[in-house]
Amino acid sequence: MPDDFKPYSIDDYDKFGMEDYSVILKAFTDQNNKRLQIMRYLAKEAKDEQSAKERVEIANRIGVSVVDTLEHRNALRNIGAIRQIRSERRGDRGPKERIKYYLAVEDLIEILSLLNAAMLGLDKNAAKRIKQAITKIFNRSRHKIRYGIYSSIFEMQEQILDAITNITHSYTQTQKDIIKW
Amino acid sequence: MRNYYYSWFYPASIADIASKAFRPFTDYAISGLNIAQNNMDAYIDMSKTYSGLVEDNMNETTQIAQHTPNMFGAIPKASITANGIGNAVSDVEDGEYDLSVLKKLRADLTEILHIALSSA
Repeated sequence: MPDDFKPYSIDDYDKFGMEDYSVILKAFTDQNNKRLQIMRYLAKEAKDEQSAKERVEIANRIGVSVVDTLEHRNALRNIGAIRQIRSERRGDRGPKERIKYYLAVEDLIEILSLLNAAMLGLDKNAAKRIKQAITKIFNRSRHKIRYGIYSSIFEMQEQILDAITNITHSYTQTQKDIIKW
Repeated sequence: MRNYYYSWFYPASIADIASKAFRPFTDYAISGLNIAQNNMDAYIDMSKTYSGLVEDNMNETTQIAQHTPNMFGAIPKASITANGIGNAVSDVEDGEYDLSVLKKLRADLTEILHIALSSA
C-alpha cells in the first residue's frame, strides 16, 4: 500500500456501500477511544509532514503499548485519516528508516463530507458541495484564528451544520430535520 | 261593487316584476358560476402545482431511497442511544450502526478538525 493511499474519495461516492461506511466507522471506533485520542494528538501536534510523529512518541502520549498503537494507526491509515512517511535514520544501531505519521486534514474533510452526504441520502454532487462548504469554513476559521478573532468548536460546528442544511434544502425539505435530530 | 285594480296584479306586470326580481338572482347565479369557475381554475392550478410538488418530492424521495441504502441498508436500525455507547461500539464492530453513532462520529471529526485549526 503506497504511503499516500487514499481509499475514500468523493469521486467514488456512487460505488460505496454499507460495508464501506462500516469500515470507516470501525476504523474510528475502539473500546477506549484510543483512535480518536491519536487523531486529537496528531491534530494538535502533527498535521503536516514536517511535524509528523514517530510510533513511540504516539504510544507514549496516548498511554498504550507500541504494538497496540500500531493496530490503531493502521486502522486509521487504511481509511486515509492519517498518513505515513518514511525517512532514513542516521546511525549504526536500530532500524534503517523511521516511520512517522501525521493527520491528513484534507482527507478528513473528505471523509466528513462523505458521511454527511450518505447520512442524508444525497447524491455525489451534494457530497462535493458539502466538501467545498466545509473546506471554505475551515479556511475562513483558520484566517479568523490567525488574526486573533475567537472561533469556538461550537461556532464551527454550527457553521458546518448550517452549510449542510442549506445544501440539503435544495434537495429536499424533509431531510433537513435529520441534521438537527 | 268596487273594483280594485292593482297594477302589480296584472299579469304583464307580474311578468315584469318577476323578470326584475329574478334577474338579480340570475346575475348572482352567473356571478356565482363565474366565481365557481374562477375557483375551479384556481383549484386546478393549485392542484397542478401541488401535483408538481408531489412529483418533485416523489423524485427526491426516490433519489434518497436510492442513496440511503448505500449507508443504512434496506431497513435502518432503531436508535441505540438508550443502550449506551458500549453497545454502540459492539454494534459497529458487528458491522451494524445507526444514525446516532454516525452523528457522534461527525461531532468527533469536526472537533478534531477544530483542534487542527486551533493549533495552526
